[in-house]
Formats: sequence, C-alpha cells, structure tokens
Amino acid sequence: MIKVENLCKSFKIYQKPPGLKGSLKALFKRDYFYKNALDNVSLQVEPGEILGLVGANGAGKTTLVKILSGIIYPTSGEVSVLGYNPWKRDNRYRKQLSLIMGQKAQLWWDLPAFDSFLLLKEIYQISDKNFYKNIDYLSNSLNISHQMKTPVRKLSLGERMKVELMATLLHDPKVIFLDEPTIGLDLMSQRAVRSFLAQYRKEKNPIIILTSHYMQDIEELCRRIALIKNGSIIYDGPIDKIHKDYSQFQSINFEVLDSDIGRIQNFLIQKFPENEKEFIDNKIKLRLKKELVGEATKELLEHFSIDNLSINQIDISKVIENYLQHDQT
Amino acid sequence: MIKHNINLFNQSFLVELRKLLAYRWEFWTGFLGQTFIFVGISYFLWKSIFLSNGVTEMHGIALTDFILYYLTAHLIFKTMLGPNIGFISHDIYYGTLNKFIVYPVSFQFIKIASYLAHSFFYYAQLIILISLHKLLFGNSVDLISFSLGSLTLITASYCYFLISASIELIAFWAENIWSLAILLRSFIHIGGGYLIPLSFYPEKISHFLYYTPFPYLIYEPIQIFRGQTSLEHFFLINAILLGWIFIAYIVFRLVWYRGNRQFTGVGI
Repeated sequence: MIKVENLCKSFKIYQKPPGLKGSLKALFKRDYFYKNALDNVSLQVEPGEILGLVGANGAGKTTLVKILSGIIYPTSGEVSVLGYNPWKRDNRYRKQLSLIMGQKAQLWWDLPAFDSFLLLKEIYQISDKNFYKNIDYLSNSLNISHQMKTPVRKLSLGERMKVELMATLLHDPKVIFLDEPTIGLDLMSQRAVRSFLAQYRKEKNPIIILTSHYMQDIEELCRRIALIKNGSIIYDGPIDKIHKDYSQFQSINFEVLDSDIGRIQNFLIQKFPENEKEFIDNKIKLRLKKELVGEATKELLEHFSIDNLSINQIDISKVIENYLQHDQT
Repeated sequence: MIKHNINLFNQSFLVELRKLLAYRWEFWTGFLGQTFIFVGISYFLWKSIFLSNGVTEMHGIALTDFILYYLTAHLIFKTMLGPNIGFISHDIYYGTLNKFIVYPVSFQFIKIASYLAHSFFYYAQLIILISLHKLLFGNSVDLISFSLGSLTLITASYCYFLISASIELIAFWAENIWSLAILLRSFIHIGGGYLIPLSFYPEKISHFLYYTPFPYLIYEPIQIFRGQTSLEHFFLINAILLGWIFIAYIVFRLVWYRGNRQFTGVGI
C-alpha cells in the first residue's frame, strides 16, 4: 500500500538575467527563487491498484514519483510505501520497487540488453530459475526475444522501451512507477506497451502508478486518476465519475465556407460568449450543454451554409483538459 | 552475502569491460597510442637535455632509466585514473543517477567495479611493457619490486578514486566540474612527479609536496616499482596512503550525503 500525507516539495532555482551583463553579474551573485513542486499532496493507493497521475508539464507528477521511489527528499510530509519510508533507501524496499522514466534509459547504451539483464540479475539477486523464466515470459509477451543480442543504441525507440520494460520487471516488483512509458512512441508501439501492461497487471497484480500525457494510456489502464495542477491534487477518484460530470456537455463539429469564416466567428462569439470554441481553418468545434445543442444547431443551419455537421460526446482527454483548466474541485 | 558481492562485482566489472571493447578504434588509440607518444616525447626531450649538458646521469637517473620512469609513470597514472572525467558527474547531470539510487546496492560499489575495469587494461599494459623493457634492457623491474609496486598501486588507485569521486560529486551543486577535475589532474602531473621526477624539485617544494597526497599516488609507486625503496619505506608509503584514504572516504561520504539531499533527479 502507498500512503502519502501532506507531502510538500519545493525546489531552489536560480535565475540569470539575460545578456552579457546578466552573465557577468551571475558570476558573482545569483538570484534564487523557490518553486513549490508539490503542495500538501495526500493520497492512498491500495494493493493491486493502478493509479493514473495526470497533469500538465511541471505540474508535479514526476516529482511525486521521484519521492515515492526514494530518488529525492521531500521538504515536508509523510510517505509510506509497502511500510517503508522511500528516501531511507532500505534495500528491502528497493528490491520490491521498479521505476521507468520514459525519457531516461536505464540500460547500458553500448551493450546488448541481455548484458544489462545479467547485471540486473546480480543487483536484484534473482535466482537462475526465476531469471530465465522471467526473460522468457517478458520477451515473449513483448515480442522482443529476437533483439536480445543487439546493442541497445541500435534498437528502435519502441524496441528500446520494450527492453527497458523487461529490465524494470525482471525482479517481479511489487510497486511499479511508470513515468511516461510511451513518450515518443509510434501508435503501434504505444498500443503494444499498453496491452502488455494491462496483461502484466492482470497476471502479477502489482501496485502501479502511471503518469502519461497520452490519455489513451490512462483511459485503457487506469480506473482511478489523480489530477495534479501546480503541485496540488485537484481531483482524485474514478475516471468514470469525471467523465460522467462532463457528459452533460456535447460538441458540435462542422465546416463552413471559407468566405463565411469571419462572419461565423463573430456570430459564435456574440451568441455563445461563455462556451468553448475551436477554429481550425474552416473546421469549427463548439462545446455546449446538451439541452442547448438542438437550438444552436438550428440557428447555425439557418444562418450559414454548413457542411459535415456532427454532434459528439466530449472525449476523456478534453474532459480532463477542461478540468485542469477550470480547476473544478 | 559475500558470494552475492563477488557476483555483483564481476558483472559490474564485465559490463564496463564489454563497454570499453565496444569501440575498437577508441580502444586501440587509448590503449597503446597514448603510451608510446608520451614515453617517446619524454625520452627525446631528456635525451637533448642530457646531450646539451654533456652528462650521463642526472639526480641519480641515467638516460635509459628515464624510459622505465616515464613508462611506469604513465601507466601508473592511467591505471589509477580509471574512466574519463564525468564518470559520476554525468550521472548527476543527465539523471542516470536515478537508476543507481533505485537499485538495492551501493552506488560506490558498482562505480568501483566499473572503475577497475578501466584500470584493468592499463595494468595489463604495465605488465607487458615492463616485461618488454626487462627483455630489452635487462636491468629492469624485479618480481618483488613489481609485486610491492602493484600492491601500492591498488592503494593509490582507491585513494585517487575517492578524491576524484568527491570532486565529481560537486556536480550536485556546480553546473560543470570539468575545470576542477582538470585541476586535480594538473596537481598530479606536477605534484605527483608524472612530468618531472620529484628529485629534480627544490628541496623546500619537494618537502611541501609530501604533505599532500600527490607524491604517494605516482612518484612513490614508481620508486617502489623501480626497486628504489626499502621494505620499511613500502610499508610507510602504504600507511600514509591509508591515512589519505580515510580522509578522502569521510569527504566522499559527506559530499554524497549532502548532495543527495538537494538532488532533483533532473527536472521538476
């Protein structure tokens, strides 16, 4: 179980004024400011649960993951993971923990992945039997067994992430932190990683904390999400609930003639000043409460020549984006 | 536990060894090229000094002895040096330290094993080239001196590892530690007798240098390899090195402890 109470973390960051004068000044004196990366964060994750951490860049997701994995120390607050304090770096805890940071490789770049696995075998004291059993299971599940002897630097990004995943899971961790595991991957590789994680979770049942900018990762893998904004958790609950709260909204998508673009923009701004609008060339998206959609569609069809009109539910990524923008608690 | 540590050491050592062998051009130029260039230049420089002064010996060292001196100086230095600058600071700057923190093993232990993999090739070269020197010049290093010199080299290498690792750890605070690392190497070049034997220095300077660790890292091991010291002196040098190791270890632990508390793991 993971238990976080009133966790705060602030970073001391220095600022350099621009230009040569600023650089010369910085040689003698530097100005610092404190950035609150986490502000009174509390949450709990139950055994076998998978929690999606969602937030914009710099919201504090990675900082939280780094504290939970013991990489950095918090400014204040209490954390317990499997009964251990992560930043005390107890080996009994570290043996049960795994961390993937999508933007940082843990395998040795110049060597085949298998060479790194042999070192990890000794680091985690994995028995020969378990080691080869896990190698077989993971390489087959990820469909990467043919690349065990290729130097990591020669692998594609998707293949690299797969061997990184193997390295992370070789020792059967009980807690897994996945920080943007699909970042930069093409759609097929993203799907492969996602379906592997879903299968792995089903079979091994570890606690997983997943951060990702790809809502599909979150939607497919997590039932519960925590939304982080400016270091604070603004929503913590089922992903369905947040979706349901927003299901009262729909979006009208349509196209207009190029000559009507200016006119329709003015029309929508006057008629629906509070509603969210999106203009991409002649493609327009208008978000409205369900009960207003019929009336609005009628008016649009009366005043403009409309093409390709459709009415859609707001998708989850948009829902979360709105939630983060409007800070609804 | 001991078996686990041995296996872990072997694997860390082998991974680094395989890494070194991954780039053959880099390997051969680093392995042989640098040694021959350094020894060659030093020899011809001293030859011209000997000729212009019309002497056959300077401060107790004959011209042919200079070959052995610079051969051992260079290979002791390279063996002791281990990996390039950045072997820890790059982990801090680029966030690879994160993985070492998450591993349930000592960071220092893995780093020493990989450090020794770099030393391994230069030590092998030291054995081969000293054997070659003995074959060519006869009056060279004997087996006892070589064994005592090798033991001193192990102590000196660990001492240097702790000093250079402490400097690398300054990367927790400084944005670049390159100049500090170069400064350390420069002190070793000058104060350790790598460029000029310490017997050539004015007595006061040479006396002062013995209050620093540098003569014990290069000059004294060279003298032990060359059979220029007694057994008592060998013990004394190693005892002093152990004292420096103790100090360097405390500094290393302190810097590691303080640095970790403000490590951001790269990015926020």
